[in-house]
Amino acid sequence: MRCGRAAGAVALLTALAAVPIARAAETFDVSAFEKKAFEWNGFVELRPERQWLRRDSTGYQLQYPGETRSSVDRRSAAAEVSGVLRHGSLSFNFTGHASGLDEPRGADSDGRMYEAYASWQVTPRGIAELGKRALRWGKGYAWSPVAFLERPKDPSDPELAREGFVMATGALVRSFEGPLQTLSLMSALVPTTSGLNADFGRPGHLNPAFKLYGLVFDSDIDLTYAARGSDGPRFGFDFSRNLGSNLEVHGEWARTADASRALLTPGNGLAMHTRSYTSSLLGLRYLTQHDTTIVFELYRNGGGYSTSEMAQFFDVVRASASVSALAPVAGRAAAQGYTRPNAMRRYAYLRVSQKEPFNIVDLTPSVTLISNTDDHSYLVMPEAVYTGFDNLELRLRLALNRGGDSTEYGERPARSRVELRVRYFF
Amino acid sequence: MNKLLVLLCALLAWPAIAIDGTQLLQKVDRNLEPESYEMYRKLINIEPDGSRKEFVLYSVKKGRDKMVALFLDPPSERDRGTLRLGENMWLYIPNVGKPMRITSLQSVIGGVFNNADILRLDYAAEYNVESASDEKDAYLLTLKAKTGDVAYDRLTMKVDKKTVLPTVIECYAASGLLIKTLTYKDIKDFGGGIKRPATLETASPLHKGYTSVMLYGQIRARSMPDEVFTLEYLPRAKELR
Repeated sequence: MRCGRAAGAVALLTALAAVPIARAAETFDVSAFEKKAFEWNGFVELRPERQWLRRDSTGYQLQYPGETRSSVDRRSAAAEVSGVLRHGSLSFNFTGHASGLDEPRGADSDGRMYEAYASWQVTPRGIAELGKRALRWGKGYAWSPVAFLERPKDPSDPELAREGFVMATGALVRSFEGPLQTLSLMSALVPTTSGLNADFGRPGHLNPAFKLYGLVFDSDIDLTYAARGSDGPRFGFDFSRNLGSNLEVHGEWARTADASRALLTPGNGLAMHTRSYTSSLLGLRYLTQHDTTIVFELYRNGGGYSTSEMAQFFDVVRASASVSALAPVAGRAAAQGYTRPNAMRRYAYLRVSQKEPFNIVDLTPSVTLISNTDDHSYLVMPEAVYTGFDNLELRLRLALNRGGDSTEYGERPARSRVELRVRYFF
Repeated sequence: MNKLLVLLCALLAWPAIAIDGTQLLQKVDRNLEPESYEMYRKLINIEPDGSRKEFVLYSVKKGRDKMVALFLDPPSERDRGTLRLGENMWLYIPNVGKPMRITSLQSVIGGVFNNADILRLDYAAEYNVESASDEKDAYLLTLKAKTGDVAYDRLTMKVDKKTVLPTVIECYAASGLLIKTLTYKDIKDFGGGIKRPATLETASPLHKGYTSVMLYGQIRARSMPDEVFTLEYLPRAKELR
């Protein structure tokens, strides 16, 4: 009898569940999704945040000199629009980004094109592009040592769009049967003048670069090369391969010659120093049976500062509070490399995310750990992303910088930070 | 007496032995879609509270193991593309700007469907027929994955005798755990000689209360160059439409 009732209930539930399915079938209009001459999409976002400051840190001293704040509230907004205009085999693609920030030190706004380039699909095997492009080389998730032609990514938000450089590129691709399935060659020219690609490097260079890609024995392999130009010559390789239906491994290796960087001298001056170095990365992505995704990477940044070099920088910043002559040196050193993300040599990255835990639909909690394995300081970021509302994404994130004195994360201005990002897609 | 019994058993088993499972599976594949095609699908994830999420997907396939799928809707997923070459899969997210290699079990969207469902190749390309039996109105095929990289280790497929199309497929892990059940329904004439189910429903004991539905809006034969199925082309996959 119980069994009969249960069966009846199941039948009723099944019938109820079938109603929306039937409705959906009636409303699937394929013509609404066919290609149009002009298409565009984008998002707007609001991001309020609060930071709890560490007043005895060098980061605080650089950002809030002479002030006595214990916390700071910041409000930012951003909009990003991407689009494509097509005519036959030609197209024009763009991504524009605008942002505004309001904080106690003042308000600021910025607007720029991340990408704006013309594209000519000569044949299915060949394409030429001209304009501002954001090329992405490398297999690393948080870092990419072989990414010679792009601005560095922020490992605390590696999926954010970034501004490109003006360049001309051409690519040829061929497919084959057998162990070598794909072979492609991309070449690029990134010219620098005083007004063009000024932040790529020294002006007056064409900066040719090449990437040869092969899908060989089910492995992705890239060989990358950037000739001497605004910076020294660089070459490297990367790989990526699946070791099963739930495990992927990847790696990168790059050699940079004659690269210059700002370095504090023994007399606490700042000088440009040239040297050659090797960087590498090894990582994996693993999916458990319970939909937990683990991303783990080890990164050696050969061009980074050593623990003693960074300790000297922290000393200079501290001393600049009483020796005013050191303040400009500290400011220049910070701007020219010492405070950029992951400015030191050895790092580890771990991200663990769980899809829809405890049957809470559309919720993805995760925790990210970025550790400086030289000085044992770290950043840990628990966060939750909710996508349950149409076209809306909510992300709540806590960021905790932890470490002792004269360590990378211990000297960050904020000890803790909480932010809510509300993003609406259209 | 024993000899008579053996003979009788052999005669009873004869129809099952006579089924060429591999040939039947290949016919199922061709009845579902041409070897090379383009297709528009809508995926609907229905959650336990009745709320729904819809995704529109454009996909192209060539030969046994080449496939591209591109999200056209909702706006948060637009232009997110996936490429499959055999057991190799990559995901392209426009903001990230480069294809990332993913595993076949990694889900590119929430819900019960995973990449192997969205980027499904011919069944015969991924599975060997382990056994084939004759039931009243249907054939029952037991399929075993050809390699450990295939998302489901074993399938049992019920094939309608009249249409030679699958009706119910059960997907099992290597441990014997039932991962999900796929139900094909609503036979529709898509033109060009393609007459097949227009709806695929999925339920999983691992996602109790969740249902995912795939609605097929358009399927037509189309041939494309091999180079369309490369990482180089993936960021421009939306131009294929």
